Amino acid sequence: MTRWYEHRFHNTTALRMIFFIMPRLPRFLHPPVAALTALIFFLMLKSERRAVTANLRRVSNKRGLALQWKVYWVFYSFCDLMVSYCFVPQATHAQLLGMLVDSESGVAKIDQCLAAGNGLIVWTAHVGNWEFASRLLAMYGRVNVARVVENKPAEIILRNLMSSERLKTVDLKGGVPATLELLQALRRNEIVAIQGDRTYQRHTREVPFFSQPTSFPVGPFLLSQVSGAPVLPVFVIRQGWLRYRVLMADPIPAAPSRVTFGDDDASLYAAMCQAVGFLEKTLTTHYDQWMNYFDFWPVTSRD
Amino acid sequence: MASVKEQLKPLILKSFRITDLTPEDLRDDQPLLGGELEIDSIDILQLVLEIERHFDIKLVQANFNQKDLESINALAAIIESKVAEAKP
Repeated sequence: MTRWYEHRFHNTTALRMIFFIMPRLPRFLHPPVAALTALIFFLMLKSERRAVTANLRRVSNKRGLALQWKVYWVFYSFCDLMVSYCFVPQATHAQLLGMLVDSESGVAKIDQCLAAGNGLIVWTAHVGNWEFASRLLAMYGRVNVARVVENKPAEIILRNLMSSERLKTVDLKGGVPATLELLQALRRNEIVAIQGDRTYQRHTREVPFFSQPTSFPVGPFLLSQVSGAPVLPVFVIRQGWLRYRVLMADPIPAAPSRVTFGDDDASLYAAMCQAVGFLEKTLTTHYDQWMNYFDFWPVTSRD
Repeated sequence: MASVKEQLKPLILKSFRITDLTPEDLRDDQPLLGGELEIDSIDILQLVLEIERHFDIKLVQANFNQKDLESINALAAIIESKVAEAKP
């Protein structure tokens, strides 16, 4: 299965071109350049286009040209994401807030979650601009980004750009030590951020997603139960060029720790349904920002 | 009163959903990582959850590390120390 970052254009040369050219262009030229670039990749990357088309067909119920237009917008959204690497990593807090259309979004919810002292698990997805989301979260303290680390040169460049004292990547390939690291971070009242729409290991659970049972990882919800940290579904969606809005659900409280094993499963399932339900609600409107360039349903079903 | 190790072994089997072994089958020096039990990142969360519930302790804190999972002996030792700390 070809993943987005495995195609031949995801390389250091392409990144260097973006990082050299885009900051030097006047901002009003960014959208037309992105529109042209998105069109070129929309036409060239056939397998990715097919996969996105299949995903959006299920999500949007659109067909024909209307569907292809939305698929094109996924490529455009990806251009926004890539160009944001020129600005977001080194942006000050004031600059980050200046890129938001609503700078007050969710502040109280995050403060409320962290006030309990059990840390916070931010459950996000490949929607909009997740890198921007991680920088915003770092305003509240240390953020441990749980992900599968790819050691390809282009991925290393992007990871190094984003990493800071407040943004730490925890490689999920690390297995048990990585899990312990995340649990210890939560017990220091830190934030753990994870993209919940990719399955990395065998522990998944099927929940309804766009009318189809779909596998999502149970890890974040089990981590919540062990640590007592609430799960907060959060997406940062694009609202114009390099302008964003935070969409945040209500925190999902950790399942009570003193329940029987069978009840654990019911609690986990309910929490997963709540988070995935918020993803579905978000995608119903913003499906042209869902950047999964592989056939989402067959992959998750098989896992 | 059963020893910590005696209480721990059924929790290990329950957490990893192992049904073809009994607590007596588990050796005290049985490795928890990289051995026959093949614990993964989610299994360990199940085990921590069960241990913390059963012994009413916070097992995984700053001073907990992978060495504490080397064997049942090692895990029992840190549980004993946490239980002792938790006593008024």
